[in-house]
Amino acid sequence: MNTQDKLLIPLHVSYIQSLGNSKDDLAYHLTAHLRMNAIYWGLTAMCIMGHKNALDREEMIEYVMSCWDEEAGGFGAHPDHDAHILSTLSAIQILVTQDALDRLDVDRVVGCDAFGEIDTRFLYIAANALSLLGRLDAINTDRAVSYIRQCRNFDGGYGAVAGAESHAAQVFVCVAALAILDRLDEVDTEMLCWWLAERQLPSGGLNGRPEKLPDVCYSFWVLSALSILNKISWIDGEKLIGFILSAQDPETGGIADRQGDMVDVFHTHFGVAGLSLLGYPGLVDLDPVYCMPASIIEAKGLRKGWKALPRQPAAE
Amino acid sequence: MTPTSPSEYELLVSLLTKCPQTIEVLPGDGSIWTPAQNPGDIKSHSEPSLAPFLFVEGNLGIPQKVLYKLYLHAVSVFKSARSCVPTRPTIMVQRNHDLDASLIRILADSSSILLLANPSHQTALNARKHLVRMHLIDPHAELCFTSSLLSSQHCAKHAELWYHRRWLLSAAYDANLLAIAGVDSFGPIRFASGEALRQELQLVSRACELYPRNYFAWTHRLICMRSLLSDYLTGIDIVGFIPILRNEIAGIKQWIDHHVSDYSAVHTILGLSQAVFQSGDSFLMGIIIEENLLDHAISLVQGYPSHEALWMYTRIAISISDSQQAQQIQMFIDRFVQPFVQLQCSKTGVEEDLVKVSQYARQLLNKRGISQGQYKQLYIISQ
Repeated sequence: MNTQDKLLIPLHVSYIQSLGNSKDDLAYHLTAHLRMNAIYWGLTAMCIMGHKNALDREEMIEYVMSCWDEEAGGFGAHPDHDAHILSTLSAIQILVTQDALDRLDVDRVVGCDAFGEIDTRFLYIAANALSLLGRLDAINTDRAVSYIRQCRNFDGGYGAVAGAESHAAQVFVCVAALAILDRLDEVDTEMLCWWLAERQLPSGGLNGRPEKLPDVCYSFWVLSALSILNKISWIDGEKLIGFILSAQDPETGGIADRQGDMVDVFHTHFGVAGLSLLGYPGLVDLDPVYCMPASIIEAKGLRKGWKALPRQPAAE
Repeated sequence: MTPTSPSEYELLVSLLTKCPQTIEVLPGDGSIWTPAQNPGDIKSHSEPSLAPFLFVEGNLGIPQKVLYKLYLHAVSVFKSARSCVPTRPTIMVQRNHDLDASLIRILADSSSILLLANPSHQTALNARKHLVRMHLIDPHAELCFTSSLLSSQHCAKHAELWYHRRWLLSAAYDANLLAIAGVDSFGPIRFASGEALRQELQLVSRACELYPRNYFAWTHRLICMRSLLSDYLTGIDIVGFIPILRNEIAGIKQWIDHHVSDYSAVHTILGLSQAVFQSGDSFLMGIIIEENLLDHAISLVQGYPSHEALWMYTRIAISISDSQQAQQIQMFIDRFVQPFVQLQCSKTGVEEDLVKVSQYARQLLNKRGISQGQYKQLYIISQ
């Protein structure tokens, strides 16, 4: 097996560029319900690698606006799909990153699922999207915090709904939502960071729950929570960098969940995001709360007190 | 791409309405399963007229190639039906009487194929919810359909399907809730009978076998049990809660015995115990105490010390133990935990597995120091 020792930026850029090419095949139709998210993942990874302009801005904005659902006041993932809070956040993040929020009728955007699904993900999405739009006052902070409190477990972690098992991705959404709402005092930092640090396996990779396999996407979920709580040094950063790099495909570009598996844009984005938080040389800073380029969040005055590892100097 | 034969599409739709007990996607085009081609190799008892599908004693087999071909067909059928039928709640309710029956059929049929191939297709689920809400799909039939999907390996772990099922379970048995369009949260989950609950728990168990440590299936189980508990405490007891609670605790203990790396099961038994303790009902609490989770955790971790899930089980069981168990805990720590802690200090070059166990052992001691009070607080105080 070949082990990579550096991030293959040009290959990943061309991999992400190639993604929109085939609109007729089965894979395109099987993933249409995630199209908007996929564009956000691709764009953010490009920004972090310093190649934002490698994707066509106008075409992207046109696509986003073609998914706008005037009646629902939200975005679908694809023009043939219903508006959903998940794709609405991705659409807003894309428009903010592309500095095109003027295309959006902010007053029409409402963050509510018509069928009453409750999930801590949706709470984070609402907090993230509304704060990007400057409308955080639309959230009832006490109610939101009280629901997150109900999702806290014995191990200090958080689950998807009240009573559900702790899960690293749900820990991220809860901790980031609390950061946006300025209520990090809710977190049992000591106990939660223990649990997060225990996600690291001998391979250096992180899992999302006890005794699961390591997966590149947890490099972001676990690291972002640790970074928001200023405990990123509790895991072995060098070993994790090695794990993420080993999951690259040196021929096609892109990053997989782990070495040898098929790459996809989701893992490519979260792998690059993890590397940015770990101070990997040559990358742009990522804001772990919003999972967007840090400079954009800073410019909006939304930066919280997170800490990533210092950017390493580029190797000779 | 070969054109889709209408009969295959209709045949699959009709097989799905028969509520298959299990659904399996078969690799390739399924030809090795066709009795006519290989009569000697594999004895299929499926009706030849159902080819290319297999349907044997309620178990449905679908060749992957056929499924994907039908999926692409369903994408375009669904798209055109959806553009004719407004699928948003307000409009749909208004136009309830105008809807063309054949259009409803097309929407229901195509969405069933979409979900079979792509269980996270939220728009297809939304369309079906609208049809249920308008009494155009029977909620019981929809429960059967989701239970067929969740008995299929590639669907069993999809959160969207479990949410859809809970939406049905909370609305389907409650005429009032069903009538209110746009309810902003789920009502309580109710089961019509003990038998209905038994089937629900069986569905969850199957989904957890199909996909180990199935997060959303275990969460569903816990939500069902908490819902029953809260009904019981307010005097509603359709299913006979006390024997169910006993079976559940004993059953999950047995599950953990056979799946020692399954922290989801450990979380469920602890979460259920927590809910019972928070209720303050001394009879129910007695059932949990009788089952002695501390004993269970300690004996398992001694048998399988390399499993993180069991160490976490033990940590939490210790933190919620009562003072009568103090001696047992001290003995466990002195005789079992301490030797592992010291192992790390005294030897170098020990194998990786032992290093790991030694770490778990040290964490157990550390956690015991810092958080015993906190655990207890979390456990007892109502949220």
